[in-house]
Amino acid sequence: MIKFIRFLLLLFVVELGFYGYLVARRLSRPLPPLPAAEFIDPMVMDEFRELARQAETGSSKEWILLGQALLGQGFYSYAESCFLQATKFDPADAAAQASYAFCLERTGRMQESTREYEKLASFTKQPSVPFTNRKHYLYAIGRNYLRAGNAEQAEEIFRQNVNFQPADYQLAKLLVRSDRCEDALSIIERNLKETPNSIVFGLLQYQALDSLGRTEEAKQAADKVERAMYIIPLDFNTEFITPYSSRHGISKEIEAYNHLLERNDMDHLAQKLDEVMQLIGDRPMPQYKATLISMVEVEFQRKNPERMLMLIEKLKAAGVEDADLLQFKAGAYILTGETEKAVSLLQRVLKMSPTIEVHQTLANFYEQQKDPAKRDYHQAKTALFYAMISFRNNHLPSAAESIQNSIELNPNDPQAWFYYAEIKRLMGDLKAAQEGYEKCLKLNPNHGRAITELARIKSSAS
Amino acid sequence: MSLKTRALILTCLVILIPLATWFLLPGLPSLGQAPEIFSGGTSYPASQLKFKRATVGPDPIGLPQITNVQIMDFNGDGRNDILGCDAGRGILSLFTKDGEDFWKEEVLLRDLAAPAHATVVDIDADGDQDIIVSILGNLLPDDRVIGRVELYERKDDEYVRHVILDDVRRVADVQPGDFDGDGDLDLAVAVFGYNRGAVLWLENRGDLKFRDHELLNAPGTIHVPVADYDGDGDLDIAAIVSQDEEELWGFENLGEGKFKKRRLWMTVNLDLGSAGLISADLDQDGDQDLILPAGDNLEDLDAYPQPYHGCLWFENKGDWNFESHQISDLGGTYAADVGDLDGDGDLDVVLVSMTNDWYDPETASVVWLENDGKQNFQTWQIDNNPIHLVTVAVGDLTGDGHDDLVAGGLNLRKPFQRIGRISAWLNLRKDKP
Repeated sequence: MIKFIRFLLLLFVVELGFYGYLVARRLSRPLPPLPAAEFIDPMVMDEFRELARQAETGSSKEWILLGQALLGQGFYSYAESCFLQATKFDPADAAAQASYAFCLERTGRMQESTREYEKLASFTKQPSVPFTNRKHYLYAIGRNYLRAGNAEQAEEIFRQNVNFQPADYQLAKLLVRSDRCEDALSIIERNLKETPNSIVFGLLQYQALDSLGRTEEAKQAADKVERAMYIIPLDFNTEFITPYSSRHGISKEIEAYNHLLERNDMDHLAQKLDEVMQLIGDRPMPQYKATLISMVEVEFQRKNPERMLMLIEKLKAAGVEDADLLQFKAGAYILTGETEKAVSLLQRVLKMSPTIEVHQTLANFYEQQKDPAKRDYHQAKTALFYAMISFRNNHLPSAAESIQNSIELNPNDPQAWFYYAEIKRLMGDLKAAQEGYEKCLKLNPNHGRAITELARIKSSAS
Repeated sequence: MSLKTRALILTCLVILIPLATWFLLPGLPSLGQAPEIFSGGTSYPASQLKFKRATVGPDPIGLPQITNVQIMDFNGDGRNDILGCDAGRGILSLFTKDGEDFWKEEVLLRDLAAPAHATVVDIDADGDQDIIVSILGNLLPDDRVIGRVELYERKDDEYVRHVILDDVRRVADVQPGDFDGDGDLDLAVAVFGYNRGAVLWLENRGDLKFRDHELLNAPGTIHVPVADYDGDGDLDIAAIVSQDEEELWGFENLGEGKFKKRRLWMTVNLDLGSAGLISADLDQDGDQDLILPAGDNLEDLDAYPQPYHGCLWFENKGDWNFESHQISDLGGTYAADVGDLDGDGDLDVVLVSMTNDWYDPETASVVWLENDGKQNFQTWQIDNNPIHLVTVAVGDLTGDGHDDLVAGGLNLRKPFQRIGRISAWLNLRKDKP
């Protein structure tokens, strides 16, 4: 019996020690830090408080969720302390570790951030979380070295990250800027083979060739850049934060509205927007303008010009007066049948921000008015804009088709003749290109690019 | 107590302790010390030179988007006025003083698609002031060819619009100068663009017609200040190329419309955030220096001040050599101007911030850097309100001979408080100039 009591006593002491430790540890946990965020969003503070309550009694998962919510609203330092706490709970959580390093990076503590990113080498990556991937965190470390002005270490780290395009780009750029253009060109050309339409590699190729004095090749590279559309992401900050920023507050409601768009139920959309607007109230925040604009669009679909005009006045009262607003107003007048008013507004839109849609609307109007000269002018502009889009997307055959249409409808537009010449030149028809530049210059003798290109064609022919 | 009783009590305790802990532990409060929250924001000692803040024009409504302010005697009445570009409303406004600290707003130009800058100049040499507007086309990142240079020719009491450059990407700045020595004014143009851009010069061919010439093919040029940087008697062009490039360029005028491009400085710090460029003889040694405010990080959803933000002074050492000196670390610095604020005969620098740590209410939005005459600068905080300031100008607004300040707010980012449109800080110095 004595032995049994001694055993129980020992167990009691051990339990007291162990559970006492647990209680002490629980009591010593810090309170989740919360910023005063009432003024940035009407809803977000309540959500922060609820997440903080969960974090207070929770583990790393809850602290990460709070950290992500804070990060999504730009509270980097508050988020940092949450992620740090999460790493203490679960030192093997790659998301917590990467997010902690990211917060240090964004708040300008590059050295500390690099140290924390380096720790990720021993973690298991989480595919859904950028920067837990080796390529991403090595790239982030390289950027930290660049931001600290340490070109040598940046180069070294980018060399360890070969075949990751952003790292290849930064490495090639360092080489171009330190007069090692030939070395850079091999990296650039490898990447352009993989991604021929990359803007940044194209631009770097142009810079390298220009530095080497290879002017003809540099010119060809510059031509390609003009028709390149592919963007290689060089900064993952926005990609990292955006999912978190749309999880909370007004952004969450707007996200819910965006999901409703698929249903195309305008009454339902209008109701949802009213709800969002009520939440925003009169607070000065960008979502106020964005929501009002969405409301105007929905009312246009609902063919409700009176409400459109009322909402436009509200936008104007909030200090917004731009081409979009004029176009909406014109839309309202089209609905009320006040076409003259609409046309006058659309002419103003054209002076500010000409678009295919506006030119097409005016072409239709002049068709109804039986004014073929004005109709053809606007149809020619529509065709020119289509040609310019195809040209910049490097779809030269469809660009050629549209530009031909444009110059036939209006042979007096120097801009159309310039693009005609550019398209022909790039398709190898130098005779037609020369004719195009000459026609452009006849209409506008001061078109600098046309003068330059015409001189080039003439000098290569002689 | 019998051994049996002792055993029973201990058994109960051994069972109860884990149960009680399991039950009570989650409900226990957190009593640990809250972590210290880091702030990378910058604040400075309060300026001993006192200023009075005033609102220029009507009170702000919504989230104003002012892109540029200038101080000049626009109407030629001998008193300085304020010119402001409002990208949110697509207008250029003139603010004339009407009372002790009240300015009346008159809209000079409307229907401007995101104007970045207005240059007031008699471009046709007919004796009146015309206006050249740099049109971005879109304030937000956009790589389309939506930029323009619009010339508003003054004719009696109205302005006649001429588009003198289009089919280019977003235009951020235009500066005049006779570059080819033919007696008329040509223009230097910063095509900021986004992923692609350029520096151009427009040759004045008379009759308000201009021919474009490319000087540099690079994205992100913000400003193109014109001055005789090499002291050879003709006007050269400088340009700051931002985005991820962060390069300072000079275009040496070789005469007859020929230029030699020179990269004057660069940094590998792709995040420096060059935000503008002005020229001034800061050390008053007879040549033109360059001053670079740095702190743009609009590429982030929520920008944050960085340790390398602030202001760089490029001291002109002659023969196109410029020596860089960091003269301020103001977080999120977006614009600079110079003036003799304390009236001691040397040039001081004024800076404004777009993205300091605004969640810390002490951080500075307006500072001045006092020059001790040897280009050692002491930073003094003028204000922390309004915030999100992107443009600043120095000049005498009250006619007392002392330099005052005016600044404009581009309210694109959180927090949505301390909102301003155009604000002035009137210099309360008492001594006579």
